Parts: sequence; C-alpha cells; structure tokens
Amino acid sequence: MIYLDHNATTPVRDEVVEAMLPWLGRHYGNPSSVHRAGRLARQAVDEARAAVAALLGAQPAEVIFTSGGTEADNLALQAVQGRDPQILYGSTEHAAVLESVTARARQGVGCVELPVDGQGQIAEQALAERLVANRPQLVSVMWANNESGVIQNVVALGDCAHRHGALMHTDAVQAAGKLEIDFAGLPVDLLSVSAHKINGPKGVGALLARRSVALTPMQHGGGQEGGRRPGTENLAGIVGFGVAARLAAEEFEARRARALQLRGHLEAGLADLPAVHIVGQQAARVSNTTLITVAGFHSEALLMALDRRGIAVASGSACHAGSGRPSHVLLAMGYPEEQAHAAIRISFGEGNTLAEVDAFLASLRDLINMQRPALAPGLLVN
Amino acid sequence: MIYLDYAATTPVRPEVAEAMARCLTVDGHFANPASEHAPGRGVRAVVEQARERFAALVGARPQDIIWTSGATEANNLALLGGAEFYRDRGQRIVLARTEHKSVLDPCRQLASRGWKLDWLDVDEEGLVGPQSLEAAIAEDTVLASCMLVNNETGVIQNVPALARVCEGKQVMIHVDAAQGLGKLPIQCQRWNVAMMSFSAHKLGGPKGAGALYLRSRPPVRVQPLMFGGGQERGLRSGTLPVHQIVGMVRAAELAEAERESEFKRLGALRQMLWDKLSEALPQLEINGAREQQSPHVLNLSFSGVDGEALRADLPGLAVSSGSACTSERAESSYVLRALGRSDALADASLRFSFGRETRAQDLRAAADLVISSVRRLRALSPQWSDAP
Amino acid sequence: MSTSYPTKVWRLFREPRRAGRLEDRDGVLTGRARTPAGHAELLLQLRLAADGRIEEARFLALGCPYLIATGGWLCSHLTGRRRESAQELEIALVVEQLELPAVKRYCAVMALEAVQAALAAEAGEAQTNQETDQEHE
Repeated sequence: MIYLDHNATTPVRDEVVEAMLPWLGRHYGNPSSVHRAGRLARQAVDEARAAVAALLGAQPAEVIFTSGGTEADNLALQAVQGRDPQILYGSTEHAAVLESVTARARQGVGCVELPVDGQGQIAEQALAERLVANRPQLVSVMWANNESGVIQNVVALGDCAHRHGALMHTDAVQAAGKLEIDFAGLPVDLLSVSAHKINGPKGVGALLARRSVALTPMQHGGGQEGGRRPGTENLAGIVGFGVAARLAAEEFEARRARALQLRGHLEAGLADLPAVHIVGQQAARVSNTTLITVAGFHSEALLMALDRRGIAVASGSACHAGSGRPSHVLLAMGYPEEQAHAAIRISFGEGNTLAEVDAFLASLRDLINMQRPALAPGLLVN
Repeated sequence: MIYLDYAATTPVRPEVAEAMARCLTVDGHFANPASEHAPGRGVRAVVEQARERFAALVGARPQDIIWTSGATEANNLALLGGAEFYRDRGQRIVLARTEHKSVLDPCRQLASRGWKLDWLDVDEEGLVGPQSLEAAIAEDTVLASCMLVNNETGVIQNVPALARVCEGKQVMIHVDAAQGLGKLPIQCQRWNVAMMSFSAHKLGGPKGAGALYLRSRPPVRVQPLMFGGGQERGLRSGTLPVHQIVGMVRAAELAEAERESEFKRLGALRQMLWDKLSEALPQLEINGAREQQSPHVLNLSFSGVDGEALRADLPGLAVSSGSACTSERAESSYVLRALGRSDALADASLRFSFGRETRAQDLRAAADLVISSVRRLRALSPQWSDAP
Repeated sequence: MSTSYPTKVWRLFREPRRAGRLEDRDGVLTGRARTPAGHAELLLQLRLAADGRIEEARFLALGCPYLIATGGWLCSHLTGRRRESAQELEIALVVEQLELPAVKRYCAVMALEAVQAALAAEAGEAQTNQETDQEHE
C-alpha cells in the first residue's frame, strides 16, 4: 500500500503512541480531580498544552483543547456576537468553516464570501473592499488549503482585517507543522489546529484564542478549558497531541525538505503528462501537497483505479469523499465543472519514498494511456 | 495511593489499550474513515462494526448511535440540539435537580434563551417519582431529562417508568446514562427513551469518547452543535476518532461480559465498607437509596467534621466530594442538598466509588484511614460531644 | 507529600499542638468564635498565672485546615504573653504567619475574636463572639 493521502489523516508516530499508552494504563486520573491521580493528569495536560503552544508560538493559556479541527473552527466562529454580526470567509475554506458559516447564516448572521483568484488566493484589495462594505466582526481565511495546498497571505489579510476592526480567524489545520507559525506575532486572533494531521491521534485539536477574544462556548457543563470547552479531557489524546507537536517542531526543517524533494520529483514527472494540470502552481503552496486535474477522467474512476493498484490518494477533501460533488475549491478558483470533477490530491508525509512517487507516476501514466484510449492523441504519452 | 474514584474516571483496561493502539500506527487502521480508498474503507468498516456491536449492547439500532467526544457533548447535543430543533413545539424542559452539570448547564443556557425550566425534586433517597414527573409536565413541555445513575450518589432512577410517563404525555425523554453503562442492563428501544448519553471513560474505556442514542423510530431529531464534513449523518461533523470508538466499544463489551458478577462483587464490597465505617464511627449517613442503588458508589456524610479538613486529611486516598468536574470550586454538593442534607453535611461528605480493580484490602485500608481521620477531627472539634 | 497548603499550616493541621481542653480549675478563661451558621468554631482556653501572664493555652477547632492551624499557632503565640500583649494581636500578623489566602482571612478574624472573648470572660464562663463577616460562607 502506497499511502499518499496525508492531508486526510496521518499515521500516528510510534513515539506518540508510546507516550499515549501510559495514560491508557497506569495513569488514569481525571484532570479535574484534586487528588494525586488527578493532579498528575492535570500536569500531563498542561505539558501537552505547552508543547502545542510552543509549536505555534503561542502562550499555553491561549490553547483551548477541542475534539478536533472541526470543533475548533466551529468554536472560532462563536466569537461573533451581538446584533447584526457579519462574517467574511474565503470561498475555498474547509467544510468545517463553510458549513458552520451556513448554520450561522440561518441564525441571522450575515455571511459574505471572499472570492479567490485563479491561483486560489484572496487578494488583499478584495478583502479591504468587503471590509469597508460589510463592516464584519470576523474574517475567517484558511492558512493552507487542504485540497490545493495553496497558502494565503495570512499576515497581510490579518493586518487588513485588524485595520478595519475585525477579528481574524485562520484554519491552520494544514499549515501546522508545515509552515512556521508564530501566533504571538501574527495579526490573528483565533487559529485552529488538529492533531491527526501532524502524526498525532484523531479526536483532538485545539483552538488558539487571544485572551481578549470573547468566545461563546458551544457546550456547557463541567468548566474545563476555562469554561470554554467543557467535558473530561481526552487525556491520552492530548498527551499524544503534545508529543506530536514537539516532534513536528523538532523535525520541522527535515520534514519540509523531505516533502519538497518528494513533491519536486512528482511534479517533474507530471510535467511529462500533458493530460495533467497542476492546480495553484504559481501560488505559494505547502510543501507536501499537489492537486492535479487529469483531462478526460472523473476523479472517482481514477481514484478507484489507483486504489486497485494499491495507491491511496484523494479526490479532494476526505470529508466529501464519495459525494460525487465537484471540488468546491476548484470551482471557486474558476475551473469549469468538468475539470473540477477530475481532481486528484497527492499529499506526502511520514514514510513516503521517491520509489513510491515513481510507482504513482507509472500507474498514472498507465491509466491515462490504457484506460482512456478515446483521449485526444495529443494527451497520450509514450 | 488508594484509588476509590471510579465514578470520576476509570483505568483503561489493557485489552482496550491494545485495541486502540492497533488503530493508530502506519501498520494499523490509521486511515480516515471518510476516505474512499482501500485503507479508508477498511477503517470505515471497523467503525461501522463497532457501531453495530455497541448498538447491540444498549438495545439500539446501529443507525441510532452517534459518536461524540464524550457524555458532555452527547448531553449538549441532546438538549441544545433537541431544543433547537423542536423550539416551535414549545419551550419548556423538565429536569431533575440532581442531574450532572453537563445536563444542568445546557439547560440553564436554554433558560437564558427564553426556555422555561421545570425542576423535579427528588425524595430523601434521591429518587424522582413518576407521579411528580407527570405533574411537572406542562402543555408546552418538549423535553425531559433524567439520569440513569447519579454520579454522586449512585442512585438508580426508574427510567422505564419515567419514560412511560413521557410517552403518555408525548414528551421526549433524554437519559444521561454515563454512570449506568456497564453497571446496569440498558435497553434503549424497549424503554422507549428518545435519547441517551454514554461515556467510555467511566467503564474502562478512554477519555474523550462517548455516544448519543438518537431514536429513529419514531424519529427524534436534533440540530447539530458542530458543522463540517457531514460525518454521523451530518449530526456530528469531524473526523471520527477510530481508536477512541474502538476502545469505547471494547470496554463496553468487556464490562457487559462481567456485569452481573461485578454488580454482586461490588455490592458486597460496598456493604463491607459501610459495615466497617459505621461500626467504628457514630453518626454516619448514607447519601443514597436503599434499593435503587448502584453498588459502585457509597456516598457518606460525616457529621461533626469539616469537609475540607476531612478531604485534606486523607492525602493517600483518592476519593471525591461532589463530582470531579466541580471539585476545583469549593461549594457543597447541590445533589446532596437536593436530598435534603444541610450545607454542613453536604460539605462533610465523601464519595467512595469502586470498579473492576478494587479489592477488599483497598477498602479495608481506606476504612482505617477514614476512621482515624474522622476520630481525630471530631476530637479536635469543640462541638463534638463524644470526643474522648 | 505535595499539598496546596503552606508547609506550616500543613504541619499544624496534621500534628496539632496545644489542642484540647484545660482542666477547669480557677483562672481558666474560655472564649469562642463562631461563624454565623455555626459551621466553623474556634474555642480558646487560657490559664492566667498570678502575674497576669498566660501560662497555658489550648484550643479546639471545627473547620478547615487553616482554622485548625490557626488555633495551634495562636496558642503558641499567646503562651507566656501578658494579657495586654495578647489583646494587641493583629489580624495582619495572623494572616502573615499562616499565609492565609484572601478566602481564609476569616480564620484570623476568628482568632482575634476568640482571644478577645477569652480575655473578656469571667473565669469559668465561656464568652462567644459571633463572627459577622460572611464572606466565607
């Protein structure tokens, strides 16, 4: 099995599992209990909090642990309050923001979409215009897109939002561990991350929130996480997140260099395939992600064919896998619907090799040549 | 340290940890269950099989189980989500005074949005009478919430009888069964409850895992708390934590297999602890029920001592006063006050709670510590007349 | 043993000194301080020597570890002092000596009231000061 879908989820590192196991074994206190077992658990949560904060350049007190990136995004959007609030959000956001925005809109929150250009980026000018027109409380723009890997200029957009008095939220689920993040110096008030995208466990994430931001909790009862997110802490998961964050910080350069090498090799190979188009290639992208469209193919068919050859890639976001819907990211970037149906995402991570890239390229070349004989002759490759 | 705080949380069983570890690493079921490729489909099958097994354990249909991050989320989803969905039917909820914070607080949240809360008193055993529930249900009552087993006292409510009352009045009943799973036989469908919340970490499973039973026939609906990828039929978005789900179900199965024998064993342990303490110490009071009582909790009030001093004087004993979720705040238990205890007696209480790893010698050692501490503090008290 | 209490408080709580009652002979003064609901009480007994010095002091306490520690500290502090010196006890000193957090300041108030009650009492009769500050209730 060649796993090239690390943006969907990543395997948990052995070191992380080892760190988690004692908290599924001999240590089992409830962090809210005042006795020794409880205090030990509290300490472990606090250490993990410090590690996550360190990876992101934040203060530990700014870290709110959640059940994942989706909850963090949903919670971030709870920062808008009061009468007639408005949210500006990017058109290529993750479903966790898009669907959450839709739900807020049903409650009467004004929600205005920010367009992206053909490279998937939001122009500062476009944001500035809407800030003036809509006077939003909150701007939500994802740092690195989960499908295309395209990076937004969060600093420029955040500064712009702040100049107009809006709060800035960024979904950094795909950016954490791949881009340098220094929350302390960023014009960002809220930032979402997830453990399972950085070789940590599923079911745990965090929202960084500046202490000045008033968040309305989505859940109530118990008072954990300063009352902003109640419920007994996912102890082992949080400990695992902490170790995964520490490893991501320690191995930051090595991982990036490795991903760039793999992707460079992939994209050099793809350049020989005329049917293949690389999305967002002119834009800055995170090091591990390549989104392609393959002319004449439907992504579901291509995905299944690759799957039969033991290669796991995605048609876009895992959340919409199997929905048969075209990629909303490509549609937002102005691609025609047919091409938006033909997207394949390759995302690298832990353990991937150049040989695996070669195997993927060979399979793709085969499939293009063999399975689409009807394809225009110019798109075939020998 | 003697750990007698199983109602706060329990050790994860080794078999559970092993099952979880197999869902984490690159050689295991690590993929995203929403992915379409082979590893994703394989993991999806693991999750769905877990759902079927869990549903069978609680007498539910698989499609009626929604995975959550714990009982707190399940309670919030049931109450906030249910209230939101049915707001046009009426804005009134009836609930017992002794509910867990994660039921009380969402209901108070609803009250701040204009919902009316009707509080059910409990008797001195902590029980809600079906008649008082019936009397409390008004024309526009939409939801009722009552827990199966109280986290502080271990009192078991007569959920089937309460559910029948609700059925007759066409009110949806939500049951917080976080403390009941693994201790009592649970039959979601037969009892005809609308919703039921479960937690993994109270029965040897991991923290951060839970489930909500949401009846599909006749259907009960909720508005989601979180939106996103549309997992769990759109009712609970977010990548499913496969290892947590697998761990929860494994723990529930192990607990079910031993349920009856453990019920008896813990009952005998509880009796032994009570006998030892009550023989040595006059003026102890049990906070709990005579019959409808889970054997895993013994909650006692010690008159003539100060609660804080008693807790501080037992550093080698991991027990609770009130529930763990509120123990950072020094307030006497609202649950015990609802049973009619004075502030002082509610404050001077200890909750001993036991589980699978608890042995008789743990309780004997605990009893010795408690007896000497209570005697010492009573001897220090100017108000204690039996002071030697 | 890690505890959230200051070392001195912890020691005085776990191994109280001068706890108990004085034999009720001539010259024993008894003072009590009580919170309004009676949940906490400090009982102080003093035996005055012929020269007016406090010869012996004993306490009993129903209350938190801070109050029990306060009782023990108070008895040590008073022993050997003259009546006038005992009367000059200040809340700030008790707060400082026992590192009382704000929510436990009432322990110092109760110490003061117990001393005043004892010194105002006739030998053999207890005097009670009901504390009126309710912040700790």
